[in-house]
Amino acid sequence: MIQTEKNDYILECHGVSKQFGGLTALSAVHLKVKPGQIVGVIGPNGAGKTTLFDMISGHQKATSGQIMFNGIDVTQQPPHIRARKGMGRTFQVVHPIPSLTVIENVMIGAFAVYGRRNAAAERAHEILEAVELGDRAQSMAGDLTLAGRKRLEVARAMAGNTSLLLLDEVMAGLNPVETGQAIAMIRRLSKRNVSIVLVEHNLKVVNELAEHAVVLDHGALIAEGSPGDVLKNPDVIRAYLGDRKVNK
Amino acid sequence: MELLTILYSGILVGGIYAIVAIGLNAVFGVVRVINFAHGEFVMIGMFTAYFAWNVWQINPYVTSLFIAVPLGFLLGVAIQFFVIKHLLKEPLMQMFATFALLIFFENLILAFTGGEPKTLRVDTSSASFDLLGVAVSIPRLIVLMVAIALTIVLVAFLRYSFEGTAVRAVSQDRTTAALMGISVNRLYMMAFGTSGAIAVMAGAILAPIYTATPTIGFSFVLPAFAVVVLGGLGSITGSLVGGILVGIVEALSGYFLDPALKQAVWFTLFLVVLVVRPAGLFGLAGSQEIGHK
Amino acid sequence: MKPKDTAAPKQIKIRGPQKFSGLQPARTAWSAYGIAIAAFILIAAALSGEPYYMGLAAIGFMWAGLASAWNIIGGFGGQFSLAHSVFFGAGAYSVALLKVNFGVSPFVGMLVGVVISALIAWALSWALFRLRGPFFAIGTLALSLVALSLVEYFEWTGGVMGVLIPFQDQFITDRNMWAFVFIAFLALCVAVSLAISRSRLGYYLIAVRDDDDAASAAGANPLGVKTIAFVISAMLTSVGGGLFILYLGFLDPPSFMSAISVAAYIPLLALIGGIGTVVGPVIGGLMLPTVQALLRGELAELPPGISEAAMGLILVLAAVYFREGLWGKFMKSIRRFRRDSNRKE
Repeated sequence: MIQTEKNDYILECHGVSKQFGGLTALSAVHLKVKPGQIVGVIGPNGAGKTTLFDMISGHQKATSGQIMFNGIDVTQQPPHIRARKGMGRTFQVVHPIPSLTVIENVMIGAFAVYGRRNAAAERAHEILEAVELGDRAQSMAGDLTLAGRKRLEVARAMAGNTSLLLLDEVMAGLNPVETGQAIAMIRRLSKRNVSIVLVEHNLKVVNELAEHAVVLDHGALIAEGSPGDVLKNPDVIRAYLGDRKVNK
Repeated sequence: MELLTILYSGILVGGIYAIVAIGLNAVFGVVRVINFAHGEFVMIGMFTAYFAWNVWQINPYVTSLFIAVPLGFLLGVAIQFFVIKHLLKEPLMQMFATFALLIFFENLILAFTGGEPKTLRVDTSSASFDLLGVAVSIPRLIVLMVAIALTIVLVAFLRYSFEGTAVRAVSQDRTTAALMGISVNRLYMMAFGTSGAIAVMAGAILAPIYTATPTIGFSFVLPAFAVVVLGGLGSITGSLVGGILVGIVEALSGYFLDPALKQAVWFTLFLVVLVVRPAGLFGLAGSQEIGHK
Repeated sequence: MKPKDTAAPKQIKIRGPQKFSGLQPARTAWSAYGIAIAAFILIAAALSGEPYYMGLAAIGFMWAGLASAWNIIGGFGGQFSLAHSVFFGAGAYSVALLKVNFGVSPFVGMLVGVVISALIAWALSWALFRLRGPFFAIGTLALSLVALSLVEYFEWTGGVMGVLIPFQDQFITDRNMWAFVFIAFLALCVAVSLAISRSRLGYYLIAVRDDDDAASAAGANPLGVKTIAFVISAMLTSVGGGLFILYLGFLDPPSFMSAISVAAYIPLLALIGGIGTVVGPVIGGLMLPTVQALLRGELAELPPGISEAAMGLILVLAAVYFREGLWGKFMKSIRRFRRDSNRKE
């Protein structure tokens, strides 16, 4: 497939910064994601990972910098426009729509592409099957377990013609069995030609899933590379464990 | 000279708005309940003072302290206990319920008094003194003084007392406050009781100034809400300053524009402030989001 | 492998979206609608000739329509507007003033009213929807008060006296017809409401209402969606206002734009019936004014105010015991019944 220089990356963040008054949440973060790649974003608490996601999805405005999605500058665009262009996003604390059933929740995502209710329902059902929630289609979203809600959130993010999926700590709160299932699900989604950016605390998950990893600390990018390399990087270890003597 | 008259009248009317708003703030600022029936409490205070004077010759200012305050407190607690307590998770139904209470009280008084306006005339009703060459009405001045005194007492209570801190905690995050061991329910009853006490007392001291009618309650309630929001939710000082400001704006617009447009003018200003700074003049920025998620 | 519910295998066969989605098919929903409208027509026909009951019916159908229209932004959208008296009044004044001053036909008058209301709603959306929860309610209440002050102030709107449509200019002189006219109005409002509830707009509204971060992450435009709902709601309310002035023949500002009897009354109807549903507001709109009128009739010998006070008390009890509205409570018991019987299998 011939790709021009501009479209080599599905997502590019150039020098993205965010200031909250006197507090710098992000400083000049660069990030590049290739189509079909799985990229992990890691870093200690408060490093700015979710803020970075908010910049990418548009839920907060960047103070400076540029966000390019599929070669188009989306920095000024509101979240719903980016979502319709193919960006799906989950939240750290899950946000199911409580008044709607499981399938209706996913339809909210599907409506980004399918205008009619029946078409959206078909698409929602297909996605629910893909995340193994098909048999809970008619339950109220609030009745699902945490693992179920996380899958629902992913399903909703995938239901449009999503080409980039932003997963914010999707493993948080899952037990080892559920984590294994979630990893398998993410792998399946990746095979659908979806690029994935994962914010994760669970470093084992990042090691297993991500081809490329990026480390944030206090709002700055301190390392990037393959997960194996990055996790051995002394700067990264110091960021997680503090400045005392680092055990080799 | 005329400007001074307008200024005085504005400040004094402002004192009236302020005192009603302060009572409302005790509930809206803490429990985040829109109590449409708040004005009805004021009206009850007015009628109580009227009857106490006519039947037993009790001076309204005496009524306000010894009859109105306990009566208002009990009414407030009763409303929280029988109605609001069940609707804490349903903000829309709260509005509906307090609105229904408004209809109930308004019509109950209507039935009792046959709709006749009741005027209370005491010796001090038309008393006034001279300040810088312009007359200042004493009953209205008393209302302003009480409003200021209330503000000082309540602010001190909220800032320096243990219970006051509990109140501030609950108004910001009732779930966490409950986890910290604060009895939210009891606190809400206190808040409603206090709000009721202030309102009924205010009614009693307003009786020498206004003619009591069954519909006067509603005419107090909306300005009170606007003043509370304008001044900043939960800020007692804001209600005082906001009330006085509103009074002055209203008096000025009545003079320079048209008396018929007085309310329209300041409501429009209120809307502008609301859109530009929803937290109000003295509220903490973002406080309008707290407490109702 | 996680255990599957025993109920699941029945639902997976794909024969059409309804089978797995649990969504009500078009035929069911619209048939129910048609049956209800037909029932209303039959009731009105049966009451024909009894002016008192026809009057109650006409008014009930009107309020039911208004409540349904309000529910589009108030229930689906979750924005508790206390400003709908502005749109009701706009519709009424447009019809009345154009007819009395320029002899313009009521149809055109209503069209003008609709356009004006749509413009007002659209223009105010951006500012109003910045306000959350109770602030939106208070802000819209202030708006309705300003509007009432203004129409009572200006000469060309008839000031405090309002507008009177002379008898010979009146649109429909047969009082019996009005019940059917208002049924048509109700049918319009419910049809729009039903269509929205089954459309992308309806789902987006509910999503935005519950969680606008999640909704925007999924592609819904919170401000855009609420604005559209507000405009549609305003337009329908304005038609109601136009019809009401034609029905009454005179427009006195408080009857059309007062905070208590209009701006706060309409949401009350939706709330007591069941806010956020299609059926709820209709039930509230039909029941409440009728109960009020009957109560007033029954307690007529008692001092004025007793019947209204009783109404107030009933409403307080309704608020406490029917928190999700009459229809909401009904649906909840059905859902619980269904869930319990599913569990037994």
